[in-house]
Amino acid sequence: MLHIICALKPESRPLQEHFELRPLPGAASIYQNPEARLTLTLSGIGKSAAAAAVARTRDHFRAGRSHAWLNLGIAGHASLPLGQAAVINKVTDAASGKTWYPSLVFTTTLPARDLLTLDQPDNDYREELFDMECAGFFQAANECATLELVQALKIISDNADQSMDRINPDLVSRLVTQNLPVIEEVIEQLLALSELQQRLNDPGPDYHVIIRHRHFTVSQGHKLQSSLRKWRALYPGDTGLADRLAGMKTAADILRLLQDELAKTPIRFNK
Amino acid sequence: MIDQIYIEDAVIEHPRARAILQKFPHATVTQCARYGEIFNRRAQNFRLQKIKPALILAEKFTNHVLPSPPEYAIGGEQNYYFSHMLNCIYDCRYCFLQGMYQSAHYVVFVNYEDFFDAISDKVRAAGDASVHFFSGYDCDSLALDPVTGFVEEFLPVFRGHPGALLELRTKSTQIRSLLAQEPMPNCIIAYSFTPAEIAHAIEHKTPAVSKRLQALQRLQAHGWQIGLRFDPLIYQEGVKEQYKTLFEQVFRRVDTELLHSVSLGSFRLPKSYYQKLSRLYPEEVLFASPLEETGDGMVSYRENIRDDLLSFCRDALLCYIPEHKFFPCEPSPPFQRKQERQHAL
Ligand code: SF4
Repeated sequence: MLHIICALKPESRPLQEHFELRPLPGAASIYQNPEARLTLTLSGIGKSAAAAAVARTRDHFRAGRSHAWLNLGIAGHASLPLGQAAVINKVTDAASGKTWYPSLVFTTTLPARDLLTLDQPDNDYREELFDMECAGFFQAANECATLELVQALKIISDNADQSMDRINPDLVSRLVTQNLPVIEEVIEQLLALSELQQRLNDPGPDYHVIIRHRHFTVSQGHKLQSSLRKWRALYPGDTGLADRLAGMKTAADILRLLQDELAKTPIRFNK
Repeated sequence: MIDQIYIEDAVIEHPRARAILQKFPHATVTQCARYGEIFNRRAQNFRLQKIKPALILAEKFTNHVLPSPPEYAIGGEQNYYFSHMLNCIYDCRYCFLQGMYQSAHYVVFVNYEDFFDAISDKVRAAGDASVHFFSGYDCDSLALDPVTGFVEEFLPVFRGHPGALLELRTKSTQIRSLLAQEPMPNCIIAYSFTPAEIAHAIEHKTPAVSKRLQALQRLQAHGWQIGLRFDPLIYQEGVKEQYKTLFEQVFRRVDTELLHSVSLGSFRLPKSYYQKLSRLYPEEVLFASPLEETGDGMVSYRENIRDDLLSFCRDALLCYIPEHKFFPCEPSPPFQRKQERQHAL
């Protein structure tokens, strides 16, 4: 699952339309697509608002470490042209000096840039991008997800020649709309990484079936997960394990049987 | 190959850092204060990062040379290792670096001169004792040589210390700079091998066994001393036959007269690394192998499998080489070293 955090409605509107993101009943300013793979939360302006939006989204979706996060919005820069999109590889909070280095493990045609998050709007254009949310977003999202799954994508909305006084909602929506193909590309790659991470963390369907009607202590539960991991490695196509264990009553019986079977299984790397 | 380079502010003007940057004109370069800000961050995922690792250029301030793990010893009275680089471009599933580091990014310490001084200090302090240095514990010694210039830079130091021995441990076929140099009597190029079937399955991105053998043969023909490292020994069904074939393959090509040493070691990992790796790669058959805790915080094959394979390989190897060239490895827990290192960062 991927959660997009946008500060402004004009930023989010083209995304809502393109990705069919609908408001979630009972969750103010949170939108979700029909497949429930993609969500968008409107944060409002500023670091604290961005951090709060991450927290709200995390709580609503009980987001674990395998959920991906994307801060998407506009930013200023001295010379980059309006509408130029960039991924971010260093974020600095101007107020605290704190930095984050998002780990970009996917391929993108977009340039990677440094970004400075300011507390106030500023007309002093510089060689790094600047915005008002990204540091708050990273502060919060890095607490809930694996580093590689937390990213930012910014679109230049103003520069030294075309200053921020000219920014209006239509312009912002237009800049986002013209970047939808690259936004989609980044989103798809992040979703793929998130799903890989999800698969790695998932104890598998057998686990849930096995523990449903039997009592496993915490340590037995860990042993079961470890044994099932090995089972899946050795028998990748086996989907009937839980059925075959259906007649066994206790956790201890199941663990013993799995361990005996695993011990007997030949190790072959090229199956 | 490398799209992102992080560089410490302090080395941005370092000639070696600049030379490396020039080799990646299209990479995005990002400055940082200390490499640990990136490399040691919590909540990184080694497997995801391994998809596209970045390069970090940094400076190492302390502990340039450290006592080496006992299983590395090949007869020296004093044994040290040094790492101008952390992490590896290859992706062997058994590699303990995946368990030791948070990050899969490659770190290159560009202040080689501090390594040179530390090496010279150890040689001087050793006096008459034989002193051996190992490179290739925290990385593959040669794999990134065209970028780091490691061979060209470090070998002259050892030419100046003919009494000290250097071992470069590798699986790489990047041997151009070695072939461009006069061989040194006090330098061994030590190749690691597992049988081709196993290498193919779990030594991802490494040169094939046949290619390593070709490189080894060329080095030997050029006059370089060679070491053979069958470490770690990996178990699977029919493994004895596979090791037998491997030894036949290897000794058909190697001139045993010119062979410096052969060592052997079982697969072993600190328990915490094993747990991390088996979670990172749940589908990996290696981690479903018959492994057990060995009582010293390590995980290795069940004793009967371990001892059986070790003694089989030992006997098979001794058909090819004299006993004085054979060094079975004694395991030691690398996590002790990790604590030393973390202290040093
Ligand atoms: S070659 Fe050595 S350092 Fe590199 S991944 Fe393999 S085991 Fe690790």
